[in-house]
Amino acid sequence: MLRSIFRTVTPVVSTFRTASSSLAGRRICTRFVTPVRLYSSESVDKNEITTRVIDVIKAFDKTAASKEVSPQTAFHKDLGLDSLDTVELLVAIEEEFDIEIPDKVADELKSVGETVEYIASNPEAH
Amino acid sequence: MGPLQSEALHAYKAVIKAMVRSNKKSKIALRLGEKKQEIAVLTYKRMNVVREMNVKNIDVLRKSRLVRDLQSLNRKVETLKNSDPSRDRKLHFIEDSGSIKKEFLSHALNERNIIHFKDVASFLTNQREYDELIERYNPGTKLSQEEIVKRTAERVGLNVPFQ
Repeated sequence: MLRSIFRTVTPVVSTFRTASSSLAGRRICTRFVTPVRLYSSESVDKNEITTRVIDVIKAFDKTAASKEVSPQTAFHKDLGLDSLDTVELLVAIEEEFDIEIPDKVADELKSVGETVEYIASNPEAH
Repeated sequence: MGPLQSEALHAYKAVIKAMVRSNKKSKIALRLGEKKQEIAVLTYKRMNVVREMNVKNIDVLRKSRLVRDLQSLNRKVETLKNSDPSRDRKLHFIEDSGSIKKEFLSHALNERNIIHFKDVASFLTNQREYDELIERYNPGTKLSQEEIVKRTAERVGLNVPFQ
């Protein structure tokens, strides 16, 4: 049965070959094809991280919504979050960027700026 | 902050994270359902407006109002269709964390309870992973009835009649 399939296939291949060779004779297109690397995007840049972090903070209903959030904003002093709320916020940020912030690092993060720094230094963030 | 407190904080974090992750999927499914329903309602309203517009000898003023209604309905449907519930940042939080926090604060500051909280967290995590694996190894258990009928028909080379 396989042989019968091959037998039917061969003529198609030969016609294709002649078609392509006639194309090659005219030399179309080849010059315009430049290789493009389709990698997934590189780690996100800092401004974008900042805006996304701020968006997450704004979605958190325990923060004072009217407050302006900037990179200098501290979680405890400016947003009025206690340590448990801060933990909750950090979990949300982890989810947003799909990363794991180790507990020791997370204990040291006290402001928006520090968090952004950490995410920018993490190659897995996206 | 003492070592006990930071331990407590880590336990709290683990619980919160486990809860957020295990809620996320069902929340997204719920939102998608709601979105579908809302679109259906809006489409129905739109149909009614169009029907009213087609009535003969209609007042000009009324007609212009109907046109405006139609436009706003169209816009609403468009924005709904373009919204993606899984991108909503509210999904990263648990809705009512106040009660968990209260519970935690009243119990957490001794070693035994901290271990207990960690156990809760790992139970939630493992339960979620178990469910995911069950689903992955038994594809088709979560399909809707329509989908099952459609696939069964396709398996024998038929199509479900168009509704």
